[in-house]
Amino acid sequence: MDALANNFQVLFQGLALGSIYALVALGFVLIIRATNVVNFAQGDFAMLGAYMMVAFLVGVGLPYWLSFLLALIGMGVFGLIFNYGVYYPLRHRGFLPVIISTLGASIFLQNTVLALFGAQPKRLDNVIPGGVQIGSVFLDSQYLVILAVTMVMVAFQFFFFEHTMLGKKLQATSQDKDMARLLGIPVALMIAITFVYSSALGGLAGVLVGPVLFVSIGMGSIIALKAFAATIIDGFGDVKGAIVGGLFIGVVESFAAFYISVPYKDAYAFLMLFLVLVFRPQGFFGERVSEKA
Amino acid sequence: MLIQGYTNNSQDFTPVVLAIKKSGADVIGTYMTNSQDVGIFAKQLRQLGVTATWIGSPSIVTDTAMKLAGDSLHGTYGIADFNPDANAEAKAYAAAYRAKYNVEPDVYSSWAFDAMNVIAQAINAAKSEKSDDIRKAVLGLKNWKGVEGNYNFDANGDGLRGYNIVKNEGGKVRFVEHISFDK
Repeated sequence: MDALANNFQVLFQGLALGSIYALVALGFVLIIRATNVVNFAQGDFAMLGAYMMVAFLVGVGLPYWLSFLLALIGMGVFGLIFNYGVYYPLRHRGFLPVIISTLGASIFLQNTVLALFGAQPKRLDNVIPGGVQIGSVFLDSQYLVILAVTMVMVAFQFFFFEHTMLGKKLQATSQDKDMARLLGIPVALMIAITFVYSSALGGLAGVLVGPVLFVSIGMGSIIALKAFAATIIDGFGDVKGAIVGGLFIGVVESFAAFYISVPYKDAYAFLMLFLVLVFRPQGFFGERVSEKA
Repeated sequence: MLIQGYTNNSQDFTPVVLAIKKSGADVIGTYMTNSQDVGIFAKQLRQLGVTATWIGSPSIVTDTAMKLAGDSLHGTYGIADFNPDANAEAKAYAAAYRAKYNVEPDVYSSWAFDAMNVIAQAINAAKSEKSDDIRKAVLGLKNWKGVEGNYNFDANGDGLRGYNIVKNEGGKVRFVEHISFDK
């Protein structure tokens, strides 16, 4: 009975952290699909979102939901600035200059936040205080919120991309830019929208995980590494895979830490990455290896 | 006895906490470097119902860890390099520090403060800027009163041989006693 409870506890933590990896991985994937570029500042979107939340909630003293809304809007606006400042000027130069540009943006963001907020990590409180106690298992309310919001976001994602005109235009842009352009889809605008959405998604992940991991300059980098592994495991550019990949990494590293060794916890994600690259280089869901390689 | 390891910036201490819980340990001793890790561990430890006495390394009473973890750290003990109530020098330093920065002084500030003073003292005493002369002067410092205690440098360059035992009482660090390893 005790073993069952422990396993459930480990599964719960793994799913919750996996959800955060999934949200950040989703941001990675959307930008990869739209621009063929890995955005190395994706983790910092989460960090920036969390700091915006701290600024509005603790700094200005606004109510929770208003701060939440403002942080998401702020991140959306930031995504637009990011698009025009970091991606757009280099869009015809191939993928390498853009990747380096996103790396530069990541360093710039971390140091700007450091200058504005200082080095001390900040505390955010759970949306709903406390948690649920079932026997010896404790379900932290913030982890429950993370799971719920991720499920809503995944549902929204499918609805948006499959059943709305804007979503279909975005999909068309990611599949074939020239064809999309010929059909009269404003490709540059679609890419800008992708950045806005990915940035807000990253910010959402940051706001959600803030109370769990605390808000610090480095929080994004830690999450982004795992999310990046999830992105590759799932087939580099597959939306469904990003979600499964994120959850998979969260759960496997939790169980491996519990049953094998805690100090190696961060290694498991990369071990899985290695195994997948060796034995299934197209990823769990990928079939378009020739196209994306 | 159960020994558990972790890496800095661990996001989840559940496996460690579950192992502690299973062991039924009466006392937990931790050596953790990052205040954030202390914060996350403290929250998860108390959430999963472990109430064992906890004695932590200096990071457990740093201003950051206490702000992040809040009441999860109440009732814990720490081994601290610095405590405002440990001696008269520490008391004066703490008052000046609070007045200037409006932050509670902790090991991260006292450490640098003492180091800077020791070096300044040694440079003045040596009347030289050569590293060997300064080193000799540092090692010659005996019974020098810093804010972390009395410095008596030995041949290995170790100045302090003592620690403060402190307790987190409702978010305030209370000085319990100073333990000296000097004869």
